Amino acid sequence: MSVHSISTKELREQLPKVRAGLARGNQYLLIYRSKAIARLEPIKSKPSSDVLVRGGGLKLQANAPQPLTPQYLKQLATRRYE
Amino acid sequence: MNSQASVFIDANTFIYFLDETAQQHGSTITALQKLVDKQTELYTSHHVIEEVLFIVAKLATAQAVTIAIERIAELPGLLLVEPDTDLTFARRYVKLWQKSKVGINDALLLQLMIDANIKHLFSYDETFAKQAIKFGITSIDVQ
Repeated sequence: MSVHSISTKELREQLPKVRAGLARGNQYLLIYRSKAIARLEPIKSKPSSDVLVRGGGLKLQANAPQPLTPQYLKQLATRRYE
Repeated sequence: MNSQASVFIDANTFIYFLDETAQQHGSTITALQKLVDKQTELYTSHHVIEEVLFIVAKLATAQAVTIAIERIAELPGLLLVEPDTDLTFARRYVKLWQKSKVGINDALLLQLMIDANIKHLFSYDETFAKQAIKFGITSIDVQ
């Protein structure tokens, strides 16, 4: 990863090149009238271990007439063709 | 598509994922979390989703169906695999159905997995899982 200085004019004219650089992990210091005004950097994806599988939200078994075995679920599903 | 890191999720797995009163709920969440942590590509199809929503509608309220689809949509990285938009797909799964002991519905799902080169299945349906092995598709270890 490297940091490149780039003027606002260059950013306008070379946006595809900058986007490609960002995709490679480069960072850019945006310069306007000889002053750094912003930093452009790629958004890092969250580490997968931070992504939680939530699930839940329903209480099907508690209200079902019989155990929700895979066989019973399959039997229920076939009723959509009846 | 990396076949080693692709898993197809069956309808019963989604039901246990959603149903916090199901005996299999905890093991399903744990197994899905492990797959997500390993950055496994999770696949299903609209056909499976429709089956899940039908079951939820049969067992619960219309509001529960909305909750179900929203919770499924939150499953990290879940992708939908769908057949070609012509009838050659149907011809293929009919042939598969004729040479296997699965129903038409499961034949369709197996054909989807075969076409997408998905080599792993997450299903609690042992009969389906046994048939899938014949087509080179193995079940993931839920333990």
